[in-house]
Amino acid sequence: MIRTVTIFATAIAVLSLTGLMLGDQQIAVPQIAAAVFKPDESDAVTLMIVREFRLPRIVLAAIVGAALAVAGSVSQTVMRNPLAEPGLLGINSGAALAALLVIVFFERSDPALVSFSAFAGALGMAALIYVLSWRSGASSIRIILIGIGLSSMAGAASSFISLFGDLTTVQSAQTWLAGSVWNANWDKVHVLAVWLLPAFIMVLLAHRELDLMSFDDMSASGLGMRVQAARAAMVLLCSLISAAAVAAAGLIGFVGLIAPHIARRLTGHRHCRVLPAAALVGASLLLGADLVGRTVIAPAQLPAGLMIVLIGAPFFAFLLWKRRNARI
Amino acid sequence: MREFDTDMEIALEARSVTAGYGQQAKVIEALCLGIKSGTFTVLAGPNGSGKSTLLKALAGFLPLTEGAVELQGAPVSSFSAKRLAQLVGILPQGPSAPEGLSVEDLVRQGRYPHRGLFSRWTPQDTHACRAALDLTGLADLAERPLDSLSGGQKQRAWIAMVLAQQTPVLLLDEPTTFLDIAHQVEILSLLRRLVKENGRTVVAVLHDINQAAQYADRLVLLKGGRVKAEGDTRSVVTGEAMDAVFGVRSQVITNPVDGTPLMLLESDL
Repeated sequence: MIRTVTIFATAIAVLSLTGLMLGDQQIAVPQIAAAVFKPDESDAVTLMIVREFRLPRIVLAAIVGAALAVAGSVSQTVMRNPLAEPGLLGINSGAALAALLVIVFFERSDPALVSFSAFAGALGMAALIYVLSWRSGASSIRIILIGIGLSSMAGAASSFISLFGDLTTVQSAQTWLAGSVWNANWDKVHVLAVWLLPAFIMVLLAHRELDLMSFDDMSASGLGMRVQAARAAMVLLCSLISAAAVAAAGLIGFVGLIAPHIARRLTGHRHCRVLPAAALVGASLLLGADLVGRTVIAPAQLPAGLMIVLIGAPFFAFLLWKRRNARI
Repeated sequence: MREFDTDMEIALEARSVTAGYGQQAKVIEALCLGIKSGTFTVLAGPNGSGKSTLLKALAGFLPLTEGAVELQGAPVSSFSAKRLAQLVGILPQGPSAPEGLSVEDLVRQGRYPHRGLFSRWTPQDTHACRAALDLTGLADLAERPLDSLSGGQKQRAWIAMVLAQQTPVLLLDEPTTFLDIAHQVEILSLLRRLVKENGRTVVAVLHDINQAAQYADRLVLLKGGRVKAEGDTRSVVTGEAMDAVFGVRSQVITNPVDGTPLMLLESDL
């Protein structure tokens, strides 16, 4: 556990520093240090680049990565399914659809409104999934199936809007949807932090409940957990967290799927270890993806959401290949 | 060492309980049953006779249509979920754990009802887990992943988890199903030891009447959601009862090994 934390904390530090250095304007380490810690002694351009462009972008990428990873860990556990990331369950596509509606039909794209509608969409979707799968208790497999169905419907509705909406607004919406942290600013970081901090703390406090939730319902209730109430609370928290991530950075897949797997392979099954480890892994993944995405074919920028798939998919295949002989 | 006192004569009591699931609202109907403290009681009966349903009702899992289940004289519905899990442990049929979980991690889950939101892992928790692993003979396998164990070892690991819960009452749904004869005997003698040496109250659903007669103190025969016969094993295992409950013709003789009743089926060849 200590080794995992050290490795990924170091990775985050190195990636952040590299992220501050690289770009159209290369900046050396001493100037970065000066811009961050002694702003009075720096020139205005460096100050602007470091403090207003690169730093918020790095912080946003790290927080969004951590959020996606934690939401993924929670939903994989609650659904008892290694593929059940919030994206698969339709929570993210609900958020995206709501945001798209606001951008295209109301022609409003101020971040606060888009974020808020994304929250509303995600929560509405989670509630709808839960209501539809409720039959004197909501079983994991029903939630997954209904989630996949609603996710496809929301996706289809998004495509429909994109086809018939006004071209310029659709285009601006598409940029946001592609999953990118390019337009990060401190306001976004603040909104995200305020939403996520309480949710993260609550998830961490529920680590024992999460441990138990990976068992079957009977065993969990036999040990004194109120399974239905706990599951509903966790689905709500998970929607909150992933909605915050979608609102800030659009649709970024894959982190929620692979970060929890990597964390579990490194730290075992106890959520008091898996959750922090997954957050660190997710933050490193998205930082790395964004760094590569904005430098590899500069000045053009690849969205982090695209890069994460390009980096993540082969890595995931490698993980599976390495354990091809493991007993299931 | 007797860990649990058995002052209360009746540990768990079903008072004209009617319960079921959704459309099948009456799997058990107006069922009355008292489970005596410090005894090993076996529930038996044909498939669909309501054994598992009764077990779930006794554990307080099932909303009852009518009647009440009482634990230590108070209705189980009046206990909080955690308090109930400190008093009654249940091992469901075919429980499932996440892939790759170790035996020790499984057994540690048994401490869940004893821990508060902020309380740390205590020496008592360690001791309870150690004792559970020793009782089930799994101390050497504690580090092994559950998936890598044999069927018998896996079942023992789950029993160890319920033992770590340190409840005076244990309910087990078909703990010996799918095990070979040696592992069946191992589980049954463990259950018997828990009753005789620790003073626990054990209720298990079993299919083998002769094993029930050899290992248990009391036998309850269910059919169609009602109790057909109940009492100590010698009085319940009779040819007439077997015919009435299972519809099989049999003779009951005295087991030459230990003097318990032994049911022999009359073949129709």
